[in-house]
Amino acid sequence: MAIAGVAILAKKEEIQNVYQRLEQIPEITTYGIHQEQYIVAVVETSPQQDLEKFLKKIQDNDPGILGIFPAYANFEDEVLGESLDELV
Amino acid sequence: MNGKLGKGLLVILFGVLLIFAWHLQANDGKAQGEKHPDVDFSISCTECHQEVTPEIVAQWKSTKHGMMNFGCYMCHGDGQVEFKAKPDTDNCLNCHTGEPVDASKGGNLQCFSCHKNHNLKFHQ
Amino acid sequence: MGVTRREFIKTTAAAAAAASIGTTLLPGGVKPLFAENDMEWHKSVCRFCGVGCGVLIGVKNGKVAAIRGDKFNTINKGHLCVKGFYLHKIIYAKTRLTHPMIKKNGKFEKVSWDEALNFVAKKFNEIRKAHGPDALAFYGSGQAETEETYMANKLFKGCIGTNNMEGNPRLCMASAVGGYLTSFGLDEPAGTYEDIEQAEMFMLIGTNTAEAHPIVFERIVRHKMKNPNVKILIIDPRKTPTDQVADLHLFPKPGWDLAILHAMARIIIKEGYADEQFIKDNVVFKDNKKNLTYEQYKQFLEKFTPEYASKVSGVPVEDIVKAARMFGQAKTAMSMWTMGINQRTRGVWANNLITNLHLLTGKIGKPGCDSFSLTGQPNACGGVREGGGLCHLLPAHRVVKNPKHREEVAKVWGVPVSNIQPKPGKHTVAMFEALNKGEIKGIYIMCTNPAQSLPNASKYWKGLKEQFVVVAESFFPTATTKFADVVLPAAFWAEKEGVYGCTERRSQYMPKVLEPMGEARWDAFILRDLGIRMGFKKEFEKYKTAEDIWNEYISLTKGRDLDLSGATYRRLKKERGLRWPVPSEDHPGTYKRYVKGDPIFDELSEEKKKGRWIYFYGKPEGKAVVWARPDKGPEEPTDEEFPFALSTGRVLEHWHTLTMTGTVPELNRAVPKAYVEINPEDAKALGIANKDQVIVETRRGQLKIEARVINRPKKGTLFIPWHWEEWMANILTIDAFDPGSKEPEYKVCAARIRKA
Repeated sequence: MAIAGVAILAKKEEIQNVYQRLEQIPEITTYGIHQEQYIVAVVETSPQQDLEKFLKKIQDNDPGILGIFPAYANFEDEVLGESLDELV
Repeated sequence: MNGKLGKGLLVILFGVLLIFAWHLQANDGKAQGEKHPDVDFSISCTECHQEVTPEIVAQWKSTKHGMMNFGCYMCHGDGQVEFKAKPDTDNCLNCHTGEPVDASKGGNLQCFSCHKNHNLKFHQ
Repeated sequence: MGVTRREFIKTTAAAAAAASIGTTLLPGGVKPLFAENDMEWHKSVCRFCGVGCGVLIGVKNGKVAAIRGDKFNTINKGHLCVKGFYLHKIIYAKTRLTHPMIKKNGKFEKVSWDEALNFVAKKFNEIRKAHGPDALAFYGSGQAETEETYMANKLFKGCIGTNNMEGNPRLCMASAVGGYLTSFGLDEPAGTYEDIEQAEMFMLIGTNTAEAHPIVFERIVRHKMKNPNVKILIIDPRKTPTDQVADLHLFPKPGWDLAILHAMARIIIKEGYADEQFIKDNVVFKDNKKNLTYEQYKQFLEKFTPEYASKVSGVPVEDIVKAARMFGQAKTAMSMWTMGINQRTRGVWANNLITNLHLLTGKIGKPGCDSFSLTGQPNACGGVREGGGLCHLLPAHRVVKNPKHREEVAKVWGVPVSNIQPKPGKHTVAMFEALNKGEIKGIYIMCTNPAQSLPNASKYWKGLKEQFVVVAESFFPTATTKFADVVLPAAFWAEKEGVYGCTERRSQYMPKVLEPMGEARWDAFILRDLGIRMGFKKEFEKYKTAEDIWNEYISLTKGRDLDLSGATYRRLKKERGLRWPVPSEDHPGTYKRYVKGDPIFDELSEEKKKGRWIYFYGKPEGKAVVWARPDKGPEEPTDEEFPFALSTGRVLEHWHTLTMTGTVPELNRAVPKAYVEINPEDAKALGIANKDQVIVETRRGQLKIEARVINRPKKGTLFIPWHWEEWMANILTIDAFDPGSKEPEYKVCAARIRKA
């Protein structure tokens, strides 16, 4: 499974709607609207899902999205085989 | 993989610095030593404010917070021991880390930056 | 720490993404991870009502600094009510009792634990020797942990040899116990909170859910907001904040609602809402003397026309019909009730009549259907009902009357079976009556405040004054400590570990995250050490930890209906509680009793079940009972001399006798004092204006208090929140009690009111 931090560039006039649509997607956690055109989000995909394909699908399905820019990705549970839901 | 973790640690460090910077700023902006006017403290906040600021009480009552009777004191303090005219959002996270609102997803703003007025409407 | 590796990585990822566009994520998002990284979070349970909300206790530099709703707890999903919100502040209240004291020449003097315990042991042994074991008594609490009540039970019933062992759940839950036992054969509800989100209709009767069980109310509100077709029926003499979601509100005269429930049953059958197949398969009918046929039951109901019920209760005929149809038409229905039903001289009957509606319509045992009693205290179910902390009970739903039960318990306790008397001891009201008469000469009171919370309270101060009284408490002074000869400082919530069992059969573990304040000690160990000093060394010295006590207790639940064998500390520390029956460590707990998935149902032979999907295994042939109970009114109806019906209850912000919430400035600000609610029409007729000082008087006493003229109580009724010692509502309440459950009728008595 992958956990990725992404900045999503959206059309300014559409950004509220894009934000709301993103919030409906279970794999995505949103972290606010920034500079009127960016949405910071974290994507969690299951091992069966390809992260890149997933992001591309999101972008293709939403005309309000201009681009998705991953800034950070973590695959440690796939690599280490540990559960991420243990308290640290 | 090591590289990945190392990168992660750098990002965390960066984050810590940013938070630290924000804290300095936040503490700066916080009004110090605010005092509630001396009133008859043997009556409750809402009882008095119903008369002096009825529109605020009405706004609050129209929300789910009002419905659940989360009183003035929860954000503003009891008025005697503690009083915050402009409340901070420390207390919000006591409840809002689950459903239906997870404030920890809220991003770069204090809750009240977007949830305005006493009805706490979003982007009003 | 309460942060998972996943959350940690997610926050890191978000911070990185934000940094990539030259912006920053500020506290809303990252605070739990960064700003409080020196805060340790511990999973626990709220100390207040019986809902059982999960909380996280934040500990910083050895002090409890914060509290937070536990979002992983499925009961409250991170939410708290206003009381829970300030729970952590109570630990550091100025009124914490920090050392043992003995009253010498009328004044409390600080003494050592040795002196205090030796003194109590000596006095108790003297009384026991001179007057027999029944001259001693114990009065406990639905707020004590299961482990604490278990130790008291063993000391008093098993070692000292008296069944004078009671607890305040007698004043709050006993009628619900009586109701479940007579209707289903076994105590505690079939369903759980999970039914809330699946119910189409709620009947809230005798409950101000919004203020007394706020998180349950919140779940109902949320469910109704998502599903506007959900119907909510309220039956209560008073308009309360719960009305915000009501579709229909019936306002009966206090104490006169039994006829309404019968009338609803009659309409349900007549209009074809009854589930005839369910009735045929799963139900028998009874009145107070004999078995009835379904036809005879219908005959019995003939008297309860809507017109008759309307005449008795004062509720309009059409509202009664609407209510019945609302219940009948809904595919699923959940009824909830609390003190308005239980604290009545016919509390058991009222409980039965609620369950009747579910049995007649087959709305039980299915998702979204249940007759669900709400509990007032956090461990009334777990410690006292399940733990056997009343005068007729033994641990794990056993009774003293049953010789086999006595044998089983005596064996585990390591005491001769002859120590446990077969005759029930004195129930609460009788116990304090006996204290007044001098029949009981020594009493140990733990974690409760009877001098304020008993009905007709001032009547019982005599006995408390005259006899030898030991009070183990976390707070001082209370109305009860005034009468104490010895006070023992008890560790408070978060200073001790143990288990609370909430309304929905769920047992949850609470950790010790702090050392007790001052010299305070854990109640269970105070009792253990007292036992040893009284001469029961062999019986008590083996308990070294809370887990020792819990393990012994759950061994007694093995094979019982409340089987907790699988709820070990190891598991409870990890999980957000387990709902019994949970017969083994790999069992997930039980969502619904009496149906598939309930391990006891699953183990029944097919021969027994005969293809039935529900089997009430507490009753012969697995058939629950629909009761034809007479519609008796309250013990003290209104009359010319006392024309008002007085009721008491809670406000959201306070709890019981204020020993806890009274120490929180914010909560005092919210509701600083008591008042009497009076209907505007009544107020006008009596010339009473809002905020006037008035005298409320009953046959037992009078109280000077501020009037609140408000359209909440029905005309002809008064309401006083009972929390304050200064305005003690229980000076007025009646101590008549239900002959079955022995629960007093706090909720109805006759009163009059005038301007002071």
